[in-house]
Amino acid sequence: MDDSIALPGSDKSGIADAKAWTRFLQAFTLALGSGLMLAGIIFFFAYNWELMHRFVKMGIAVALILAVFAVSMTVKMSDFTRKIMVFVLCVLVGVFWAIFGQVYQTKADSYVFFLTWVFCILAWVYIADFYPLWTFFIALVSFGVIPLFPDNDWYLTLLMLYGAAWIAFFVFASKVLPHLSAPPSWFTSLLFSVEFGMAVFVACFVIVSEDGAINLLMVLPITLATIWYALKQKNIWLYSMLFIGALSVFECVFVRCSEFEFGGLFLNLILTSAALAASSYAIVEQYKKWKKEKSETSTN
Amino acid sequence: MENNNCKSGHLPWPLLVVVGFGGMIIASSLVSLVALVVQGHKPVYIVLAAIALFLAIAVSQSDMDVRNDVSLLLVAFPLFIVGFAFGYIAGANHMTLTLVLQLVAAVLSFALSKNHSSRQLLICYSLVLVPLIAFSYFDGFGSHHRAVPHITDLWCFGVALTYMGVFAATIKNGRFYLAVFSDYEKTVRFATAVIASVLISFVRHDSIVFAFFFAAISFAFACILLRKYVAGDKLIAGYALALLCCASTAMYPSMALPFLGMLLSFWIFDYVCLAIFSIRFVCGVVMFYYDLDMLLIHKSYLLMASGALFLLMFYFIKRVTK
Repeated sequence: MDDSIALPGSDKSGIADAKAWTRFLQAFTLALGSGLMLAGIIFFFAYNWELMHRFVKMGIAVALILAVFAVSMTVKMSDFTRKIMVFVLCVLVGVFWAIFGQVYQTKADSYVFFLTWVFCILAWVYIADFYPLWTFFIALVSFGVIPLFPDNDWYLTLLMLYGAAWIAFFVFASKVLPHLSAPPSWFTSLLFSVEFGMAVFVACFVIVSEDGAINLLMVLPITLATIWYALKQKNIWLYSMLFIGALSVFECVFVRCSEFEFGGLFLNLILTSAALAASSYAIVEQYKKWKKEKSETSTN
Repeated sequence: MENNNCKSGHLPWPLLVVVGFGGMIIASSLVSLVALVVQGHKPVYIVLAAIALFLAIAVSQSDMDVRNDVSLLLVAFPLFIVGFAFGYIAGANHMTLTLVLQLVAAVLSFALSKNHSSRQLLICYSLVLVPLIAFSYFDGFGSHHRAVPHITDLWCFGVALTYMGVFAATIKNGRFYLAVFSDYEKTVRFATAVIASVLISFVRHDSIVFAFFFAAISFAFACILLRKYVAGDKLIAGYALALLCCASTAMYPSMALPFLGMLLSFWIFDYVCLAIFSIRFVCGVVMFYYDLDMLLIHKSYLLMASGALFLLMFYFIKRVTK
């Protein structure tokens, strides 16, 4: 089955032609039809939910899991579609556990629900090797693990270490573990952005609240790692993020030190303008340099 | 009014994020600084707003290369923010009038400035101001206007419809194409798609007549496509199916508008707007679930029937294109 609709044809003016419309409308009507039908079925069960026996409720979820599993195993489809099916399967496992919790009133803490879900889908996530699914998996693990962190002075450091562990895993594990492909750049950029954003937040928090200075010990290596990665991968987004982080920390220092009098505000205005101008200059220069290197590489 | 010097169109978008973030900081520092000196003297704010906007326009006049365009944006962007912020401070007690003046100032600034990125921001700001003026006006005179039924619905529908018209006017080779948007097509499309999607949330869910309007336009669009690409007996069947499919979206304004938007977006391969309208459509289905005016079981039947129609349409397209 050809399921690629991303590159339709067009005439010279960038307007969809007959071929493009055909491919789009096939995918569009199929997606809309099946989506609305599925929504209708969900609404139907929602209406009759209270009347259904608990085994029927769980049976629906299990039947859906089995059906999706059977389709993904037996029907001939592209690798990408199969990975999407595995994604749906992983979501359905969560639906099953949510119904299980509701039916038996387990009163389990929310992190237990997420951890149970995570353990059930771990093998599928690893085998699928699909990075949108890894993103979903990391979010689930975070919902399960972060509430377990002890609420002490090291809490923010633990949070940053947790993020750093994920980054280290994906940067290095793909070279060691079989069946795990190298992460795409959007994925590592996302991980680094979140981690660096957390480091900036911690730095700002410590500066403004004058509390938890011990957590700054972790901010420095994260910043250095982000700089290293941005320069190594020639990633202009992460490179720009570094300047946004620096500007944020600078503003926090100003908020902490300033008395909000004319002189202080004026000084802040001058310094921020200078810093912003320098940042923009640096970004433009770096962007042009990397673009030139890229074009030279592609020419060679 | 046209600007053909779109050098900043080549700026990396992370840079625009940095400039936007830094510009906001600079503007807020500047506003705080002036507020410390001026205190509550509103006429001074009016004068300062005019000066800031005048300077921003003057700065945006230059025609330079990418790097200089960045420096222009670094000055122009905070000045525009400061000018508009001073305007709000001066007219805080007369919000409708202030918003109207802001709109006039934004349109004039757009017409007079040449910097591409500044003009993009001004377009977005102007498009946001139009619905805000109405909201401010109707809230300010609420007791009087509540006598008029569905006045907010009417206004939101009117603006959403107009914005969809503006969206269509950015489509080259379309019947309503306006050359005035030629340099800012993507910006206009993005802004109108987002604002129309938001505005349709304010239209009452039982206002089927509004949904019918969008569904009728979708049907007209489908008819044009069918006439262009299908011939013979299958054309009649295509018309009938298209009518049923479009009619099925007419049950809810939050589904009818995104449906039309998705078709228009694909026509010009604008995948960003396609994503916006798709998300809005899903949100529309979720809103439909929580709508208390209809029994859940009736909603379920309606959705299943609509789904079946679209699947029938899928089958029809498969047959026609075999």
